[in-house]
Amino acid sequence: MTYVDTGLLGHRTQASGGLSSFAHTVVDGFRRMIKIGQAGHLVLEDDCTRSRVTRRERRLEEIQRVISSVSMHLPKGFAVGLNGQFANMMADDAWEDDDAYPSMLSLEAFLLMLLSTKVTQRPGIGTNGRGSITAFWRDGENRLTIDCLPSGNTRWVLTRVNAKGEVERAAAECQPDRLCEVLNAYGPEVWFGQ
Amino acid sequence: MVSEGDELPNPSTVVRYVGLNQMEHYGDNVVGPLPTAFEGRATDDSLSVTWCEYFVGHPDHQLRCAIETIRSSMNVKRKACFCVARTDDLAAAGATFGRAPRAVYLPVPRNDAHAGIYDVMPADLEAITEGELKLLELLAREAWSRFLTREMADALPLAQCEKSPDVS
Repeated sequence: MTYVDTGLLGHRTQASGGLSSFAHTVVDGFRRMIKIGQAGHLVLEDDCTRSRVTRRERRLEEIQRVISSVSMHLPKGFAVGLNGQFANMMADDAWEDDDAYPSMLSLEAFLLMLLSTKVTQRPGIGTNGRGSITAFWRDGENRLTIDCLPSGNTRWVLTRVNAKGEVERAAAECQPDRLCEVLNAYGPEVWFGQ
Repeated sequence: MVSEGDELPNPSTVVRYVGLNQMEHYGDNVVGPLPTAFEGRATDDSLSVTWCEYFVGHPDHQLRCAIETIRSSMNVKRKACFCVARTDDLAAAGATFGRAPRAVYLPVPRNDAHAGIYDVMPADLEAITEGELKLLELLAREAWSRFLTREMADALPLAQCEKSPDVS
């Protein structure tokens, strides 16, 4: 079954301002939720060892649990929508067997990206197949793609038609909490909403 | 006559298998490929494609044969797409960023029509440069903008899929 995207979403439930401490709140939430095992693998504190659950399903559960744990920091309805999108992304009919699962550091970068840019429109999502989470938005000919990497960084590229009708392309790599500042020159409200 | 290791005649048409997670899609509405679809794999030195004119016939027959060859050579997911490009469009996009993409005939087991596009992938997938990101975006939006879903591919006319006499 395919999750149906509901499009525009409600307003942010958290007052704006204090982004840095806000972002730290989310990171702290991750750390309470997740701990790194001795072998370097991410493990949930809850015991969810069950038979007949594939590694892909297990990773999807981990992703959805983290998203749900920070849902209060996201616009209303975001978490439910994202969880449905990740379920679709990792479904049998869409997931490529050779692809690495989205890493938890990519997820952290993805969520920090959503917070730092103050988006009110949920992105489409994908992956580069090497553990990233790719977020993308489109408004007519204007497209923004942000790849949230296992390194914790983001790599973005955009096509934007300016006021003169000229096509501009821009790209860079930066920390997720810098995105709001670096994208500001390109009128990101066409993708992120107000 | 084109032999293994030769450049494909220009222009040629090539097809690339792209999973749904590297296609821009909103729900079930697929818009086109994402730049990530053309990054390639770290183990490859060229972008893997299938050459349509390897087969004889009308362009739609050739495209269907190329897609059927991909389907028989790998595990194709139901929601995956097939992106189509002309080699002259790839060359033009590459030239914008100082690259000289070239398509080379490289048959592989289970895909006799396989080819590779050189000088189009990022040099280091862990450190993709600004220029490489812009090239990937240009490739996705322009050179590779034509794509077929499973249903669109199934609607193409079936053919015998005979090898062109121009291929050795």
